[in-house]
Amino acid sequence: MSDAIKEARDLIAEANRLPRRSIQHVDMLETAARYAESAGDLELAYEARDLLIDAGTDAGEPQRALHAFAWCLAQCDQNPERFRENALHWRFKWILETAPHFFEISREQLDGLLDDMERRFAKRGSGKGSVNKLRAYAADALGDDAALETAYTAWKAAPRDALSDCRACDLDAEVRFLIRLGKDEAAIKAARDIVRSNMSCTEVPAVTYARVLPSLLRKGDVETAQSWQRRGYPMLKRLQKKVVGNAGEHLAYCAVTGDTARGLRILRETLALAAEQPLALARLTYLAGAYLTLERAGRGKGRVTLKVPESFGGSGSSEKHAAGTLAEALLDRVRGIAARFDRRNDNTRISGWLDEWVALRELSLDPPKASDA
Amino acid sequence: MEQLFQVNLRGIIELLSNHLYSGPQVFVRELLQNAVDAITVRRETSRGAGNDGEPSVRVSVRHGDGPPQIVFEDDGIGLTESEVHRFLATLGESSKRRIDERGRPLETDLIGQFGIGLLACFLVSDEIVVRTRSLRSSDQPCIEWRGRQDGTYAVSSVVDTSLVGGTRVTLSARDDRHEWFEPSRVEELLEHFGSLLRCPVWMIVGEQRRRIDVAPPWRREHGTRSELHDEVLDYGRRVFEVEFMDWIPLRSASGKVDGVAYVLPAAPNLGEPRRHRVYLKGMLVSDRSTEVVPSWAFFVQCVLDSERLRPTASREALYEDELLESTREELGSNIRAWLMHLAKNDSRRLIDLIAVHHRSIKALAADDDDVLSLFADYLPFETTQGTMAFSEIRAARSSIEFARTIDAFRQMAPVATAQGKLLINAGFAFDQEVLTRACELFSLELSELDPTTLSEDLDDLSEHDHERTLEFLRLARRTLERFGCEVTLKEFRPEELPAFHATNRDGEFRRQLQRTREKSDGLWSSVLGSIAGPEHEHDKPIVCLNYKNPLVRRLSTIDDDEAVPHALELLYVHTLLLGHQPLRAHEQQLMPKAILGFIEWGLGERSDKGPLLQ
Repeated sequence: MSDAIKEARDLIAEANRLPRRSIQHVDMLETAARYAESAGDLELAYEARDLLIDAGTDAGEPQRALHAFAWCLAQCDQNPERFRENALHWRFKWILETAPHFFEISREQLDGLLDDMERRFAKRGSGKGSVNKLRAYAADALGDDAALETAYTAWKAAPRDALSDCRACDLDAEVRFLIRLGKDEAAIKAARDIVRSNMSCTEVPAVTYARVLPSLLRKGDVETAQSWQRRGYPMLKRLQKKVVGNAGEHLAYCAVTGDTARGLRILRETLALAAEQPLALARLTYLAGAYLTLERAGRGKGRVTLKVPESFGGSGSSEKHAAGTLAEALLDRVRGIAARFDRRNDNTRISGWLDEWVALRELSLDPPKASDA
Repeated sequence: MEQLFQVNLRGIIELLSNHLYSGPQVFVRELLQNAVDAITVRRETSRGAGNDGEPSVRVSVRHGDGPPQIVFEDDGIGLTESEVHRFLATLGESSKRRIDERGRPLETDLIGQFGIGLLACFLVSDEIVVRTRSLRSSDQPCIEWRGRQDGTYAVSSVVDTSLVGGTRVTLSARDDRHEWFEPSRVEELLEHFGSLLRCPVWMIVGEQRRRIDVAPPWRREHGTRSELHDEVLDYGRRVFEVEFMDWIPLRSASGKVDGVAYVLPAAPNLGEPRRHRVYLKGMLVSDRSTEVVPSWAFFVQCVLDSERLRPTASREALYEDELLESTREELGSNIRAWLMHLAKNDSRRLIDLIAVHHRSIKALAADDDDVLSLFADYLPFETTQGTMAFSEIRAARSSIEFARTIDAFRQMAPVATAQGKLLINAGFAFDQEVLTRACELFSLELSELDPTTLSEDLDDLSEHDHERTLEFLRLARRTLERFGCEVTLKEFRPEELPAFHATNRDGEFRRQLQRTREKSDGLWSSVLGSIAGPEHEHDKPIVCLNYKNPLVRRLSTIDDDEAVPHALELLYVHTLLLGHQPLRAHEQQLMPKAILGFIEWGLGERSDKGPLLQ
């Protein structure tokens, strides 16, 4: 065994000993893959890249997950007797869930990827359920409500199969689609089903509690919103970077209920992670929430001490900011992101959706007094 | 007419056993729980005070002519006939659920609350016989309830003077479940679930009685501290079968928790969560709970009992709520306080601990300034001068350079060492966070060194040499341009190294994307191209040639437009191989081409001078 191969094996073992969701984890596996490949051990390189699909997704580096996936898929296509493509299919869903968030990827490319998935899934005898769910995700990021409605309906009508997500994740996706389609009441009902029946998965109900908060606020159900905010935030915090975008909804809640102290605490706890969040739509949700909290804190010339990361236009170190000014700066930034989506999407749906969020600043609700928190 | 659904009980039981519970063993826990709860209610209502002795739970196994039987007997409050109808016959109905006027569950002293416990007995028995006499008032009759797994049951009044008050449950072994009725198995399960109960539980085998509930060492009075220490460690050895290094007492007011965090004797696998043993009101909920302590506490394995945390419906895990969150934080501060105490008072024990658990400490120090300031100096890092404690590093340098990845460290180490640099490998978990914060704390300058920056930092050539090599550098750039890299000529040690290939993290990723594009079909290739985006100047790979290297120096003096490019191409491939870079297609073609070129060139030279072979 060559030194490089031994080193690659050691790195994979070391990576497996690390807590997941870290950049180091990703770096070790990438190095391992490179060492193994340069030493001619394709199987070992495949093992490392296969692990990278998970690691990159978990660490919030979907571009690296996407690359690792593409590499593995190419190997399967070229050496079908050596590498089994079917084992990649489950992860294909993660890849296509994040792909529409790269505005570098065009609508045509997305359609191409979805068709490729449909073809590969059909070859193993799977139905169109999962693919349609992903088409709905893509339509969501493409700001195409008609396509979303079509794909959502087709997905719901399709029977579940081996490639379907778990019930909890599926129901949570429904909540997400319903919100985007403006059906707050139906979304709240679906979210209640998740909560009532104790459904859970890695991210559910943490993300469900969060994403439905604006709907609850719009419907004036501040009591449920409060209880879900309190329950959901600790769960979300434990999941870290991958779902930090959903802290945006918690921030929106804090703004609408005037609980800026809590909002600023959440900001401090999540701002740095959110800056590293590579999913553009998640950054957008997060910044929209941050805007709302700071805008509220800025009424009456409030000042806040925050570490604003460089990629959000700050200095990266702890500084006093005029809340209102910072809010406007973040709003500019988030409008910029929305505009890039709009350009790719060739419509203005994402900007319009952002406006719906910004409109929450006109809303002010008093949370119930008797709080157990 | 409205009709009720008919529920197939057998189906429900299968469902429970396959999906709700982890296995048939839970019937012991459910029975134990009912018994203990009944005693709790009796204590609360101070009924039946006239009966002799302290109320207890007694468990025995009968092996006779028929199938073996298990008998659970308690001196609890018992049930009246109407309670029997209501609670023993309706799935989901519980005598123990207490709710407030808004329908939210109230905190209670009872363990059970879901009304499905007794069903677990059908996992091992086709028939459950319950005899019970309520103590709510005197002169209550003894009621017998016989439930069968087909969903039918019968209730009758019986004469049983042996049951003064309380409940006796008898199970007869199902044909395929005899193994669960072995006395040793039953006793093992009772201990497993109930050893921390605060209510007497007896296992009776023939004439012998053995007490199941035993106060754990941290709840008992001890003569000396070392006695306590030894007993707690001994307890850990028995429960986890591990020889622990040390232990930390745990207390949480919000979750009403007491227990112990054991310090693992070896560095754990950080990717696998620890499995803690969690009891609720003395009853084991889980021996693989991962949520009770903060995620940075990799180095401990806990056993703890809570009076207040809530179980999920399976009663095999904790319900994630704010109470659990605040309990977790309190337990975290217990562990942290212990570490702080050690740092201040017992540096020998601390050094032993850090030798094994520095990763965990780094995880904690990464976002806790107090811990960091106490531990920073002790924390070890891999450097170009071997493993050094942070105190040694800061004694040696006031500005510190680190490599972000293990690979970058390996690549740069020889060059950095030869330049007299002290480079730290921050490629392991938490190293970078800890270094950043530790340097802030001690006002040290910290900067990342990547191969690109390193190559820029190296010495430039003297003006004279610079002039002399201009043409050579121009030729080198022209030759290697098509590989998308920049070429620089520097002077550095080690002299043996002719050149190295330098990229930063993003440049490295771009290179990988390009390679994979070559292997992918049109669609995927175009997508990879899209996510690569436009190249930034800083991400461009650099081939850094070493003018101190004799080969490079000679090459720069040769005036040959054929030989020098071939040599440079080979040198380029050599730097890639040295850096464990898998080659791209056109780089792969270089090797044979350049080698053939050299052969031709060599032969050409020779042919002028006569035949090659004499």
